[in-house]
Amino acid sequence: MNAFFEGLGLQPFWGSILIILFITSIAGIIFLILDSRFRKKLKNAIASPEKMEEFRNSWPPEKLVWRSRRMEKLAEVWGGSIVQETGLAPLWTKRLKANPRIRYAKRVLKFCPEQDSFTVFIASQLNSRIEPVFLKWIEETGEARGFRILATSCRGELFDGKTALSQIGNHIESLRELTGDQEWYSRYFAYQIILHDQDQKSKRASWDGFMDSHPLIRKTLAEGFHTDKKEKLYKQLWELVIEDPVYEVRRTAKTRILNDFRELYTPATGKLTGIPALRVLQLLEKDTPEDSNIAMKFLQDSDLELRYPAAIFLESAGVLDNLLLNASLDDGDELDRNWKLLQKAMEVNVSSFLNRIDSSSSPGALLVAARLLKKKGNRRILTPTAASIFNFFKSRELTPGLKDIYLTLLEGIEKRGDDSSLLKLKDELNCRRENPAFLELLIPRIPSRGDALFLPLLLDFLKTDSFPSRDILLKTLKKFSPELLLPSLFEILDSSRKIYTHRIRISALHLLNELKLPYCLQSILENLPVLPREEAGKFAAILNAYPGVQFEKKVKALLKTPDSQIRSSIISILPGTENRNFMTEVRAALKDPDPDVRISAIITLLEFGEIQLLNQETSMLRDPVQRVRIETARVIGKHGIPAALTVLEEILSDKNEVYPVKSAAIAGLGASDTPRSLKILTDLLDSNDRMNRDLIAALTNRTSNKDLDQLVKIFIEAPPSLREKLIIVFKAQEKNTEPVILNLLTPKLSPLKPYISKILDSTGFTEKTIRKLSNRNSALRLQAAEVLSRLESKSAYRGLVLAARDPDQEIRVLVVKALEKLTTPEGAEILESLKEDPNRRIRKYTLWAMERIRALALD
Amino acid sequence: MENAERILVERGTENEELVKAVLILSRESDYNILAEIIVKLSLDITGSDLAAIYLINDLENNKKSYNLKYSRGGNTLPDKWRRDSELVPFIEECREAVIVMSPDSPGSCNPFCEALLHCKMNSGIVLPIFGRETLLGLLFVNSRKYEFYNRSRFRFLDSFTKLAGELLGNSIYIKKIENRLKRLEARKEYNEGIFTSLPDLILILNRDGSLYFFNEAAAQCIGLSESDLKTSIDELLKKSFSRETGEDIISALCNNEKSASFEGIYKNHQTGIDYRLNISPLCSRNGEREGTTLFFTTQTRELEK
Repeated sequence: MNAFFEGLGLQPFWGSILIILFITSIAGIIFLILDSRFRKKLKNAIASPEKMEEFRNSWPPEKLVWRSRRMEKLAEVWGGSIVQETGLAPLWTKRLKANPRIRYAKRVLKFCPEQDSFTVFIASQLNSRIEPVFLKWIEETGEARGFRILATSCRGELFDGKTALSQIGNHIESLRELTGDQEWYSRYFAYQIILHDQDQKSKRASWDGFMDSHPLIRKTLAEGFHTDKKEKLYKQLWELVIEDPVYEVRRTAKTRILNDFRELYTPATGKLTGIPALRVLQLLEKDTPEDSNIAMKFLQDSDLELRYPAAIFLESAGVLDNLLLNASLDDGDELDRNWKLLQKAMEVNVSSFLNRIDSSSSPGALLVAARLLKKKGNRRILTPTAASIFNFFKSRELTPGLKDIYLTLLEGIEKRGDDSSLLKLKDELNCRRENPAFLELLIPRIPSRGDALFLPLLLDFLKTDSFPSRDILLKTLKKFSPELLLPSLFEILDSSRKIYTHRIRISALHLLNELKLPYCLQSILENLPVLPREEAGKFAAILNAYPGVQFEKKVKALLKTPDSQIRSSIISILPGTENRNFMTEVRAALKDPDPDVRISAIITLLEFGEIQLLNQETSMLRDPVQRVRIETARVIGKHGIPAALTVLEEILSDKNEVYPVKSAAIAGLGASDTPRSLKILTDLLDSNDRMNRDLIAALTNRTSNKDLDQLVKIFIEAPPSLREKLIIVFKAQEKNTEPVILNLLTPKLSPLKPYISKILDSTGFTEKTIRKLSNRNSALRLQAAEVLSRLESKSAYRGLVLAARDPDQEIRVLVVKALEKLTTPEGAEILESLKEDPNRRIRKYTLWAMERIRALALD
Repeated sequence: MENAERILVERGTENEELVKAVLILSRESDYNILAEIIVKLSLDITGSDLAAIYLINDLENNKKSYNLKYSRGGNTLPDKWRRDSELVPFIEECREAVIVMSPDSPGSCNPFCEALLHCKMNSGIVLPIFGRETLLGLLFVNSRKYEFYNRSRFRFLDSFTKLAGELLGNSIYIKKIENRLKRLEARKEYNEGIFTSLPDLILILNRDGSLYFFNEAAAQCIGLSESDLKTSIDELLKKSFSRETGEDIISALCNNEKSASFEGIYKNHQTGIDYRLNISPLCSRNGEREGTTLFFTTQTRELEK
């Protein structure tokens, strides 16, 4: 190379320089050519959108960015739009965001401030060198216009308003003006900054901002506005919660309240109704007790639209679960309250809480679940509920306190049970086949839709002689289709007596009669001897449902048969049918050789009211067969007219009459419902000691209200000896007599009090009332305590003292009064302990009692 | 046995005192005197030092207070007991007597110490007085001695106030009846005064048509006297009116017309009266017809005017 330069007469150094210059020139020429081409292409691209597309393909922004300076120059000549159209400006903005450098900031502010000045603003917060550039731009553009451009490019983006305030706080006036701008983003930009400003004007502007038409502004203020006027801000936020139509704003306001104004958060839900209430309910927070209270209040609201969110909230917060699981039989009021609340939730179809019942064995929870499922809720839950309840009763009896659980469940299954719950019911029924208490509840609740499932089991019960609840069984079987029952019924009636006992046959006949099938009438009538006489009346009433002509024809034919049992049975049922077409045959039967036919005839004639037969009635009291005499006496006593009763009275005082006849007459008088018969019995009781047992037994049957009233009147007027005897009657009448006797506990009849107490003590009423003192229902306990205090007997007072620890102060007061009357050492001990009772009223009563006892002890 | 005998003797004595006391009480029916006797007897028979009776003046008023009616043995007793005191509401609720055996019960301040009406009194008893189930007042009986009120005194006072209460109740009831009777008599006189002072003639007939009442104007004009009372209207009309008028009036009465009016001239021995007669039924409160009113308006006087 040196030789070449030397050949040209140049020194190597200058040769090198020359070469460099040459190359540079060439490169320059190439650059100029390329630049010329670039400019040409760009020019064409500006002119035509198609060309611009081509240009962009050959000069994508990533490539073009290397010519940013050139582009700046060209943009100055050709207009700033070329940086936008070529996609260079967005790339500058992108790079500025990624790397906040001053040159990009300048370019952005120069060529695309409307679009991206906000990016520069944000970059200025990250790079302090950009800040002067940005501020200079603001100044150059003019404050008002600059901020408006900035706000436009912001477009509702979130930024750090506090830092922004430190940057452009000098221009706060312009920013405040911006809060009145028509465009929401301008206002939003301004509010983000001024809400941090402590100037009163800014504060005022911020307060106004709560009423801004754009939700983002209201939300921003709700989130970030601070002031010394805490209560005012709290009220403003609460106003947003209940009035703002935008959920996001309401949510933000509520969150702010819970975060910063917890101590002020005591919502007055009493005044809340309609839409504001609904908005409050949408924003409830699980861990906020106030919110739980609100939800609980609206759970009871009649407006279902309000109740629904309240129920949803309470369910998600587990409150409904707790209401169900915490329900306790020990506190009846609370149980009812929980049940009613849960029922309210179920009325808006919120019922998932019931799924928790399978994990509970609490009787209170089971009762509430059963009550709820009886009316509503997912019927599939009935099966686990049934399993829990049946399991609960495996080792328990149906006590009055628990019976309701079982019964409510059964009613629920009967009404709404699905196949699976019916299957559970069947299993339970089978398990309880020997337990009448359970059967009485179970059998009536078998739904007729479950015939295929239950009928085989029920027919098995029917064919079991020892089955205890036969009447209920028959009532239930009647609900099923006859085609399913008849084969089994005829099998029973047609079989030998060795196979099916008398009891089973009676049941089958009753059921067949109840089905009222005309084509079975003959079989029914021929099987009548199966029935005991006392059941004939009830049985015959159903026979009225059969066609009259057919019935009469068959009866006439059967009355002519030689079989005395059939004739006697047919005559017995006639009064029940009220068919008087057989009177001739019945009168003739009074002279039938068979005593049973004669008895049936006299009973039938009397029940038909054939009073002209008085002589025959009384003559039959002299029948040679004692059985006939007894039945006649009984029948006259029960149905006889006054003249016949007089005859009976004479027989009772006849020394020559045998005891069984007299006893039967007394029994008959006992079965009568006439005041005269009662008078005869009580007079006899007063004057006669020999028949006391029969008389007392007869009077014991007189438990109708009318009879009891008369008995009580007799008791009040009676001499002491009769009173003592009547006490035995009242005792034997047990609970029937209790309400009437209790009515005698009035001040006017206070001399009778010892008698009344004696009766009620002996019927077990006092004990029963004492037991009520442990009932979960406080009203019932108070009622029991009041009754006991009115009784004023030692046993009543002793029972009452057991309630010394009752939570109800009214009951404790009655206890103290009882203790004052008792004056026993135990009582004194209890009084001593009641002196320390937390309730002042009780302490006063205790002192009152103690002072009285003290005085009474002094001679 | 001895104890039972002692109780019987004791009760016998108590009953004897009680019977004597009630006998004295039952001779009186005046409310104020009864109150005085109750105080005196309860003080004397029990040997207490102070007794006072506070009675409710206005039983119908809900804001009632118990005013001192009579007392013995103390000069500075409260005039009234308000229902907001501690003692009174308790007795109203408890409806039983309250005993204070000593001013301060052991261990605590006695809430019933208001029962002792004077600082020198050391035991006392307050008894509610019920008449016909209504609380009428309170009887305070105090003694200077501690634990003065033993079984017999307590039982006597308890029974005595119960009986005395009923007598007081009866006395109020009698007083009420007397007052009502007086009011009725006053009203009757007032009504009669109105009728008498009327210048128009009023005749009131019974349901059977006999004369029940006539006013002064009627007496003077028609010449009626006490002896005409219960006289049949037919005879009265015959005596005083023309046959036609009499028949018209009878016809109106017989037809039970609700109201009818006639005009005519009645001539007595002195002068003639131009009258207008209104007949209207006299009905009881329940609408039942009890008689008839004949109202004669004298038009002569009006015409003269």
